[in-house]
Amino acid sequence: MPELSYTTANDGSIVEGYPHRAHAPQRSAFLTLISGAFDLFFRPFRAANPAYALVAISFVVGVAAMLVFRYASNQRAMRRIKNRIHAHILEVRLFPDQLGVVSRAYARVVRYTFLYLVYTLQPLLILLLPMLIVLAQLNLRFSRLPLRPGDSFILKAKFTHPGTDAAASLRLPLGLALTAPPLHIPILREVDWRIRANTEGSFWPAVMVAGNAFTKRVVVSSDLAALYVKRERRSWLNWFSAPGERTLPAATPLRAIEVNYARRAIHAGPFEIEWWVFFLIVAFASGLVAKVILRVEL
Amino acid sequence: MNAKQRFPSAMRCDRRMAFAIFAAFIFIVVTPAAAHAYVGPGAGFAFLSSFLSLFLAFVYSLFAFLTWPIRRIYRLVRGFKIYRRAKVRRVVIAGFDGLDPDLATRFMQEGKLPNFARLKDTGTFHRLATTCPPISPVAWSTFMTGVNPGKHNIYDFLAREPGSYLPFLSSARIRDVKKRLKAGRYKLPLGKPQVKLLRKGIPFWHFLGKAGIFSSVIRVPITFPPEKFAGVLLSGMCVPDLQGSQGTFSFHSTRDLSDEKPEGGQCLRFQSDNGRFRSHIPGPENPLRPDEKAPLRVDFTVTLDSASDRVEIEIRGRRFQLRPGEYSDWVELEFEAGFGVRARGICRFYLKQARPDLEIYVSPVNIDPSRPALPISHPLIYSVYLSKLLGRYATLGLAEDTWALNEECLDEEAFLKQCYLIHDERTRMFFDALEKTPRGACVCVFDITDRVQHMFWRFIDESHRAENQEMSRYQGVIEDLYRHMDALVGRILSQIGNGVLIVLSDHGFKAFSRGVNLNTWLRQNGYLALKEGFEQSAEWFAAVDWDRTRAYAMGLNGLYINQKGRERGGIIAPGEATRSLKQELREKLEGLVDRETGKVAISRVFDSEAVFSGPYHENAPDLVIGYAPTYRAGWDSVKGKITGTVFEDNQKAWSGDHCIDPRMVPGVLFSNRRLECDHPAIMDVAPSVLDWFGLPVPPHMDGRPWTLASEKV
Repeated sequence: MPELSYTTANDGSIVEGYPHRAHAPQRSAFLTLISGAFDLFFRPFRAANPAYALVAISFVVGVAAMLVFRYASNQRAMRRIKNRIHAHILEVRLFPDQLGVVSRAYARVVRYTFLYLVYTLQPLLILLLPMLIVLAQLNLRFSRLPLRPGDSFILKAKFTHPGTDAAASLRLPLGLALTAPPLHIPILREVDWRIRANTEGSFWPAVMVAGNAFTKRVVVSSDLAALYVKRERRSWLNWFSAPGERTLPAATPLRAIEVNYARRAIHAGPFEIEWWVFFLIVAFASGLVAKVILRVEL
Repeated sequence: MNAKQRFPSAMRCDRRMAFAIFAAFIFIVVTPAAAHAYVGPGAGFAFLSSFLSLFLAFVYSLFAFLTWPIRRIYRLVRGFKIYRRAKVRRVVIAGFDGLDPDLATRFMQEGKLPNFARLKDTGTFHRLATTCPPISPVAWSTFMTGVNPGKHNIYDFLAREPGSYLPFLSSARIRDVKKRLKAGRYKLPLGKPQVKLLRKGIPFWHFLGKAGIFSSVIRVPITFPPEKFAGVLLSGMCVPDLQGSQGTFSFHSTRDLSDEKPEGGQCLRFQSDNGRFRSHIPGPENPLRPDEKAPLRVDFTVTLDSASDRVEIEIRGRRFQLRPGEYSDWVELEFEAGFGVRARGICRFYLKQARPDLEIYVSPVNIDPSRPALPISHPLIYSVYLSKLLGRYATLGLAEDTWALNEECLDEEAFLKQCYLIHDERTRMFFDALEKTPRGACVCVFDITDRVQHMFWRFIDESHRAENQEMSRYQGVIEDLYRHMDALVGRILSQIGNGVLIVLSDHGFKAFSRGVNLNTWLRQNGYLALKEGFEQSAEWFAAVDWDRTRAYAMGLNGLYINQKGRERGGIIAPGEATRSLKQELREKLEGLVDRETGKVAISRVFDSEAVFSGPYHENAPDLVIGYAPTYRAGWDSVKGKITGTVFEDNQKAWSGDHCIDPRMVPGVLFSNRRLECDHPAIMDVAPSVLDWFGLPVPPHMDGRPWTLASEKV
């Protein structure tokens, strides 16, 4: 385990220090760039209703997906295959009394549908990674609500081995205050602190374990912001899901530090829906429009 | 008549598809899965598209599978007696329009048509008596109904309106919507335009359908608009183009074409714009603005490749390249009328030459079969099905553009290429229909034989007076055509199994080298008078003085008495006066000699009362002119023009014809079975098919069934 130290920042927060930089877990420069780009994209919508930001990004994604399909797929072949599928469906309708024709038509529909999926594979593969990144970025911004001044939240520290939680303590920066004694849950190897946010800003409360400090970013804001619910050890999943926060060092006794931000619902007229449903609807709609304008075969 | 007003059904498919997509989308939204399983709208569309196809196919097939035994039992019970009594399980009729018995016999004797010869030797070969007059719409109407023209009401391509002496298409009438809502400069149609079939009589496939016998009918003439019956049908001859005409091409050139007004087409000059050339394809009238004179249009631009003769054509954001002598694929066109209303059609481009003058031919704008603006098939989805399965295809009734060749906008090579492109489409449709009709009747008419013989007869007929410089180059075209049709027969024979194959034509062919301007003859002989001060008349009797006119000719074979009480300006009393005038005209016209050649131009004049019987015989011409071989109605006379000369050379590429004395142009009848028939006629086909399937022949039919021997080829 690398030796850690911490210092107190000007605003009173505790900052992790890594004397051996070579061992320190680094944020991916690529993902930092992506996060920066998304921050830039959402900057004009920071103080607005998040639905507007979501409409904008969904529209861009819908159009971009159509462009990828337009140029990365064999449009002529897809058109031909789709026509064949439609033809054989119509065949079933036109010649329903002839079992041979109906059976052959159905077999051909299955065959051409499989072929169609094969042809969509290339653009889908191209879309896969960017879409995962986009969804992760959107999930960071739209799935949870930032804390507001006066809100209380729970900060959880989860440990790898039984007993290590007993010595854990918490140091809070100015702007955050404990509202109850820590709750130890040995069976879950977890310690929970109930904290109140007093002022707006980004804070780094530190969980102290055996003299080492492990911070977790807490955002108290009324604007749209990227929120990292959990700080974990390094894994493929959190490479996508928490690209903006450093991972916990591999050999620490801590498994994860979590903040229980409230779930966010997007208000679309009289409805409250999950962000991804809203995203789907708008991306689909814009994709349909782009499909017609760009004459994309799908 | 506005095209778009007549196209109310164009958006139905779109609406259904949109609804299906919407329903599937709602289904997905209300049953949300984990968000991370979703990889974006592209994947969603791909999934939705394939899922929808699978889902619909599954529902359809499940329904078909589940109900199949019930339907099968029902049909078995119903059709058991039919097929038990039937002598055949399947009848396949391949109509080769205009296949000539003399040429077929000659080529068979020369060993060039082995499959026809096989049919002749082991099955049947006869000359098939055609109708009077021997014109395709008349003959094919008789073919399908088994009655004489007096019962099906088709006597020519055109019929005349006695109230105005003006022509109208004899097979179908398209009526504009009656009521419109005025909204500013627009007049929105309230209701649907009506398309009415004017052919009377009942086609034999309707009788088959009622008995539970399925039929596939492909491109038989005079089936537009399609009628409902138990089977599938794609309409043929007389389906209009998007402009509502029987085919209007456009020819685009950098030359000044202001003096050229080609028959059946339109010449347009390219506008040059920085090395690009702009022109437009004329479309239908604006259905929302019927008073506007300028039709809808779709613009296109052409860019010449400086290094080669290749051109790039850009139309509505799509680009494709053409080399000289090359046709494009079918190009989709959308004519925007406003308020999102569009008329959809398809056309082909042909690059005649790129230099020194850029010349491009654009085919008539056909109704798009995948989104038919007018009903061109039964059921409506049949044309869509064929389009999805085989690609877009020509839907225009007279799809082979004979006028473009006549007017030299296409050369012979290009015309032939066009004919074979269309023929290939037809062949694929036919073999698909054959596959889908294991029992019942499969009927298809191939037009290429008619069109090519019309245009290339001059190369095998030395009497033709048209300039014939390329005689040797095209001398073998008709022979090649017959060989091609022979190969088609061979292919059908290999797939027909135990079915009965009938190969027939509606008429034969003869040379057309001299035209007879019958109206001019009538005028010179005192039967037709022009208004004071006129020596000639423009089209449709513009200068005719009806108060002094006793008879007039219109169409290819028709001669009418200007009868009192029937024609608006009629002067001849019906009854004895009419009969005696008809007799007088018959005596003078039969044996009419062309002094320039010394030949008889008219061999027989038929009295309609003698050749037509039935409820519609009053609509028939009073006399039907039977021209002698090498003669036919002159081009001007057909359109009611009165010129200075009675006889004239036919200088057009249209050099073969059949609109003459029907005794001179019988068709052919081939079969893979021996048919016992003396003097078979085209009107015998319908009763024969009914009889073979064990159905009673309706008493109104004039034809007599042929007896089917059991041996087959």
